[in-house]
Amino acid sequence: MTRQTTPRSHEVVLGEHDLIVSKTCPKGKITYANRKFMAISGYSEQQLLGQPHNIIRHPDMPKAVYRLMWKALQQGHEFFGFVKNRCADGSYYWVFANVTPDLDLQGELKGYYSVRRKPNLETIKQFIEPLYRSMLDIEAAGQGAGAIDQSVAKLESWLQEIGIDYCHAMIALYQQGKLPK
Amino acid sequence: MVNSHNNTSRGIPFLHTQLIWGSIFCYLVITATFIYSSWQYGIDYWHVAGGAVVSTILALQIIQTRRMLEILKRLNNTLTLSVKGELHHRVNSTKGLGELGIVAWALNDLLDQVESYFKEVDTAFRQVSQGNFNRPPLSAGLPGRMGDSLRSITLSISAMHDNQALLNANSLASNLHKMNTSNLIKNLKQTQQDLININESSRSVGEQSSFNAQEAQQSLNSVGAIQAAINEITHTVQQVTEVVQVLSQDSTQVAASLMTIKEIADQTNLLALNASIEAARAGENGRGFAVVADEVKALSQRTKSAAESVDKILQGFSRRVDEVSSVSEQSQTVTQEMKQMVEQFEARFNQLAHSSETSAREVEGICTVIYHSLVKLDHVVYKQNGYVALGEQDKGAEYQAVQVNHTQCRLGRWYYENLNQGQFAQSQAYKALEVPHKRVHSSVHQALALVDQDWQKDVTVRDAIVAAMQSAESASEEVMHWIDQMTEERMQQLGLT
Repeated sequence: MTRQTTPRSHEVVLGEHDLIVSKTCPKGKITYANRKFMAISGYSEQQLLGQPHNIIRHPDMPKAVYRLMWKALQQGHEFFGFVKNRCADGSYYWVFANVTPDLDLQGELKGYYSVRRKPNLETIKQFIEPLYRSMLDIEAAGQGAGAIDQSVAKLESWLQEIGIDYCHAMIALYQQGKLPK
Repeated sequence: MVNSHNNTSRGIPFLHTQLIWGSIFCYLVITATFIYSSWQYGIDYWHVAGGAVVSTILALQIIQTRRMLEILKRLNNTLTLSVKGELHHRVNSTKGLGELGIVAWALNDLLDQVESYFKEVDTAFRQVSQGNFNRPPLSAGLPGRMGDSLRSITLSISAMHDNQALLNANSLASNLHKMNTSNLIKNLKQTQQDLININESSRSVGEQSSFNAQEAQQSLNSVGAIQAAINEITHTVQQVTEVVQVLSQDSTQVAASLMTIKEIADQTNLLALNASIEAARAGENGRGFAVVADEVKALSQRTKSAAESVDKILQGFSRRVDEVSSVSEQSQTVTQEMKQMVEQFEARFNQLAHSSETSAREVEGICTVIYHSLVKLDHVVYKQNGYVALGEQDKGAEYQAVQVNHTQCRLGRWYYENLNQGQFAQSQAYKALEVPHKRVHSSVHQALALVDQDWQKDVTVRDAIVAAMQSAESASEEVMHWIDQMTEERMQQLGLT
């Protein structure tokens, strides 16, 4: 079902109050996508349901970001991130994603819940793109898991430089468009 | 699955049951019609084809209706679970179901918003409970009341953050204050001990000074006795000098008398010579007379030699008198010098006695200042203990320390031991001290009694505690004033102002 399309330089921009919502099973297969998701990504419900969520993953995204995401989710924490996603036609769109574990009333993991909101594109140009590019370079230069480790280390050193934790940094960038001092 | 407890619709069958009975009825009608027409008109190709088409359309209708019912069931399921609080269920795969699909998507959108809302609120408050105020709920994409609600929560969290900062600052200040007061009391007690030591040392210095003054006075008395003895000696030497002078005058008179005796002897000798000459001229008749003349001559010579020997003795005597005279003059000079020296001694002992007495008074002044400081310090320690006891939950050493009343503390003991005694009997300040001192203790006791009430909830109790301590402070200020006044009075008595 996965169709490999060539990425295009066309950007789809989210509306100010758009909320992209999707759900996956604990293994990461899509179990629900809202209409906004379909409208922006260009995939139909049938194309999405049962597929792994990385169907919309853009090659410009460093793998280390997903590594961090899975680490956070497995520890039961939420995850924040600026994510570049790919549409069915190869266009791309930037989102500010928040992923949380979905628990039922007994507290058992039923899947993951992801809400994406419109990010400030200026902030992405200023902070995120340079960071991701340097991480991608590291990942491209190395091979396998070791390269991703190095890429994670790069992100961690960036965080150390600014002196705050990852989630706090991402929320600050999303809300204020700058890093707290 | 569906078990309604609504009595109003109990008698009406559900759509699913209606569909089954309706479908069976339709097929029975089609089958009956087919059998009847075949029996009436024989088996006809068109009858068979028409029956098949009607049956197929009916089958498709049933399938579509069943799907709709299935979606309705899932909608119901999802709503039921949502009512129970499970917000993560959705209704999907509704393609081709038109109006029903729209309802399903509307429900999904609603659940997306409600679930996002609750996740944001949950996460934000969980973080706040862990002390992280940097994860406010994100309101973007949530319309109307939900977005407003999240924005209000963001404001509340920011207020909580400020409040937390305030609480932290208060907690820090309170801890530092506690440390400060406990150390302050310790330091004050050390100072108190130092003052007690200084007080004792000063007292011994004062006693030494008093002793020195007494000794100087005794020495002064001895100097007086020596002075009297020297005056006696001077007087005696004076008398000796006078006697020697009289002796010297007497010896001059004796010398003059001896000169007269020698002149008489010489005239007598001349007279005897004349008599011898006359006797020789008379011859024999004058022989006896010549013997007498010789005797007279011999007598005058003996008289002259005796006078000369006395004169020699007298000359020796005169020389000795001169010697005695010069020695007594020397004695007079020496005694004069001694007198001057003793006068100097007297002046010095006088000075010593005076300065020792001044020192003794000054030391007493210092002792007064130190003792009054000690009394004041004890008072300060009492108040500090009061503050510590007020801030403590358990009734510790400080609490016990402030239980004493105004007759049992150091100031009280000193006050009532000296009641109407000596220097204090006339003191206005001493009389004025009692009332405010009593009030310091009663106010602190009152504040401590109030702490046992529910001050944490009742602002009037808190105000009353502060008011009681304020009364203690103003009374304490009066106590300090009167003690200072007493110090001044004592200084005036000692002539040290």
